[in-house]
This record gives sequence, structure tokens and C-alpha cells, in this order.
Amino acid sequence: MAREAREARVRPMTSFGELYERYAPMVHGILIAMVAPHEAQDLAQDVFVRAFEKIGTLADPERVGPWLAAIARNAGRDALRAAAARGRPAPLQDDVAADRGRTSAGEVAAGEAEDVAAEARAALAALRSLPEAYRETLAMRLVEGLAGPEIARRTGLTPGSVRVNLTRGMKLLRERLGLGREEAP
Amino acid sequence: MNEHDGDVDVGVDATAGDDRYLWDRSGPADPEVARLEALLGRYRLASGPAPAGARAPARRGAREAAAPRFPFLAAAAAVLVAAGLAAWLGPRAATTTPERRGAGPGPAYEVLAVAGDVRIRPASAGPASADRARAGDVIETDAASRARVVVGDIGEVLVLERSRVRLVDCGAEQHRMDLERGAIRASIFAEPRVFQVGTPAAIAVDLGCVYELSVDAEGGTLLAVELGRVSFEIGGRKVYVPSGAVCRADPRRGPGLPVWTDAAPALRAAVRDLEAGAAALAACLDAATDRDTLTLWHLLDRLAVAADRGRVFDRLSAIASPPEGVTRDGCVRGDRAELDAWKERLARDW
Repeated sequence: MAREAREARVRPMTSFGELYERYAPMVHGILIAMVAPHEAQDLAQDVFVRAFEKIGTLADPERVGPWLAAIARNAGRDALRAAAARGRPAPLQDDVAADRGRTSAGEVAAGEAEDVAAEARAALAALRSLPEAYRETLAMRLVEGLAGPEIARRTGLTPGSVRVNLTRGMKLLRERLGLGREEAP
Repeated sequence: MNEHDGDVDVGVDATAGDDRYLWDRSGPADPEVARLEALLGRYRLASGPAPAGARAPARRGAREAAAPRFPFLAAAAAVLVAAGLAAWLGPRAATTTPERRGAGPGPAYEVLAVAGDVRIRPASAGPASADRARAGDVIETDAASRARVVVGDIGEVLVLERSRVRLVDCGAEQHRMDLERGAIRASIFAEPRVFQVGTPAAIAVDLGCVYELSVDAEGGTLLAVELGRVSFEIGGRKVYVPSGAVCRADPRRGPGLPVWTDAAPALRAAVRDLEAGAAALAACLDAATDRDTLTLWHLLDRLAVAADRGRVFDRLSAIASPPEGVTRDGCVRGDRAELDAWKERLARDW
């Protein structure tokens, strides 16, 4: 394909309203499976800025989802490395601090709120303890609310892979949270 | 067996019982999954429009009133948009040889020859102006030439070989051109419906952002969307063509059914037969897989015979349950609100 045509095909991907709307939940899902919630939100923005800078390197417009996912994973890893270098607490400890702040601001009304927040932190921590493929897919499903087919469409994974990741990841998550669903024979 | 059929087997039978709710919220709700959704949903990315500055590049006057949710991103994106657009447009090609013509009033598009000689035929005589075209002008390429048309500040159109494009409206708020023959590739960053391309068979209404249109000698049009979505329209009929789908339009019948580019050959053949007037509904329904809700919904929307609509409803609902309030009777009756509600739900996966 002529270079001009290739460029014309790639550069218009800078329609970021469209990209952001479609892929931000996927990007955030990947990040929140790695870093603290408040950091995930900031990093999600960074990912789209990085994508903007590197848009010319995307050869196949149909692979924009996997491409953004790779940028998100790299951003998450960079953040973890930077946090480790600074001796900052692990993401979950950050979560605790963030949730305490959130609780004191908006959920003071009931002591139950702290219980729920603690349960949410535990669930997020358990999710983060899963293998990468499982935790990312489950974060997109349970945190971002994407259905399996949507996850497949955005990540570029086959629906079969996504479904396996969801079911096996959920099985592990149930075990780690001590949930008691009976498995089908 | 198609890929999706295989997925169902893996998910339901092999791994963890009935996980349909986990997969797509169909089937009985799994209380533990629902509880985790409720707990972890507190960490969800706040929904809403893209940061204003990341909508590249914004039309003049558009969206300025809305404060960006993420000022940092807005500022960074704005800089990047400017830099990226400048690099994208590149130097003006020296090989352009438009007819010298009048620089009349009204907005104009810059026209760059990216290969060969490009002709700009003016709508009327007037003062000379190189490399620009206005409403009424015609841009023509031959077998060896291509033109890049800079569409205001909302994107560009690459006019491919052996093509003729007539500019209809180059206004600040509305952009319209007619593809009379040949092919174009449109790359537009505008708000939905700001940019439109007419063809002998239909009008492609841009909902953002990258697509290719081609018109054959008989006026038949092929629309292929690479990113974003396009509304393919004629009269009151609208066909929604998302990224990864193609749609043909006939000058007499208007837009046909959208089909994924990687749809099964049997489905593509059945759709072609159906659009040609053949009795191919059964073949269409048989060939459709779980992923072909795009085609099936438009089929449901299109058919005139109630019994046929009922058959399509049954096939489509077997793949994706209609949302609350959408009924078989309503869809068979052609209830617009119910059909649109179902489309809205299905479109999340398109």
C-alpha cells in the first residue's frame, strides 16, 4: 500500500472522542487491576495522551484495542516500578487510605459504609492477586461493567479466551474470597 | 461450529457450571457475581464524554462552553492535536495542477495532489486561486492521480484514482460533498452528522471517523467503515454501519444490510441474494452466527412482511434477549421505539 494511503488510514485514529469513549473502560480496567484506584484514573488519562503521541506507530487500525491495552500495561508497570523505587506502599495500602478518605467524606452516615468499603477493598485485593489474564478480564467485567462480548471486541481477544478467563478467574476469585458457590458436576 | 458456539461450550459446560450471567448477564443472576459487581463498581471509571481537549480537533465554537473534566489531558491533547495535524497535513504538494480559477467568496477546501495531476473544475468563472475548491467545484482524479482534500478543520478526504467529487457545502457548520464516481477515504474528527457524502445510492452521514466509499459505474455504492461509525441514509431509511462492517447501496433500493467484513461467506452471499430480491431469508437466518446481530437487527428493521419479521425476531432473540419493554409483538408490528431500544442494547457489542 502506498505510504500516503497508509498514513491516511492511520492518522485519523486521533479521533479521540471516539477512542476514549470506547476504550477508556478497558484501559481503566487493566490499570485498576495493577495500581491504586486514584492512580488508575490518572494513568488512564496518561495512556490516552501517550496513545496520541504514538498514534503514527499503529499500523493496523483494527488493532487499536490491543495497542491501547499494551500501552496501559506498560503504564501500570512503570507506575509500579516508580512506586517501588520511591518506597511507597503497595497499591492495596494506597487503596485503604483512599477509601478511608472517601468514607470520611461521603459515607460517614453509617458504620456499615466502612464495612462495605472494607469488603470492596478485600475483593479488589483478591482480584489483583490473580494471574494477569484473569485479573484484567475480571476487572473489566466486575469493575467496569463490560459484558464478555464487549471485552472481546475491545481487547482483540477471542470471545472464547475471554470467557475462559472470566470463568476460571471467577473460580479462583471465589476461592480466594472464601465464597461458597457450588460448582456444577 | 463458529467461534462463538465454541465459547459457549467452554464457558458453560467445561469450566464452571452455568456462567451465563458472568459472561453477558443472561441467564439467572449469580448472587456472588452480582455482589462483586456492586462492591467493585465503586472503582469504575466515571462515565461521561471524552475529555474535551481530546476530541481532536474541535470545531470552531464547539464545546468551548463545556469545562474539560481533565484539564491536564485537555491541554496536552490540544498541543498534540495541533502538532499531529500539522505533521499529518504535511507540505503542500508541488505537483498539484488545478485549473487556475476564481477565488470566490465563501469557505474553501485546500486540495493537495498526493500523486499525479488533479483537476479542479470550477463551478463558475472568477479570479484565479490555486489548490482550493469551493462549493460547486468538482475535483477529478485520473488513473494515476490522488487528491487530499482538507475538509476545514475537521479532517480530510483522500480522493482515490479515477474519481470525481463535487463539493456541495464547505461551510463552517456543515460539510457535504457528492461522490459521483470512484472512491474516497474519509477521515473525519467532527461531531456526528457534520460531514456527509452523497452518492447516487445513499448519503453517508459521518458519525466519526474513518471509512471508505466507492461508487461503481452503475451508481452502486460500497461503504466500508474502519473506525467509528457511519449512518448510511436515503429518505427516511437509516442503516447504522459501525467499525468493521460494510454495507452496499443500490441506486434504486438504497442502502442494504450491514455485514461484518469477516462474516461467513454464506451470510454475505445470502445478504446479497436478499438485497437482489431473492427469497433468501432462510439462508440468511441459517448463516447468521451469534456475532451477526448487526445484520439481523437491520433485517428485522427492514422486512415488510410480519411473518418474516417474526422469524427474524425469533432468531435474534435466541442470540441476545431483547431488553425489558421490547416485545415480539412490538417488533413484528415495527414499533420504532422498541426496535430502537433493542438496537441501542445490541450496539454495545457492535
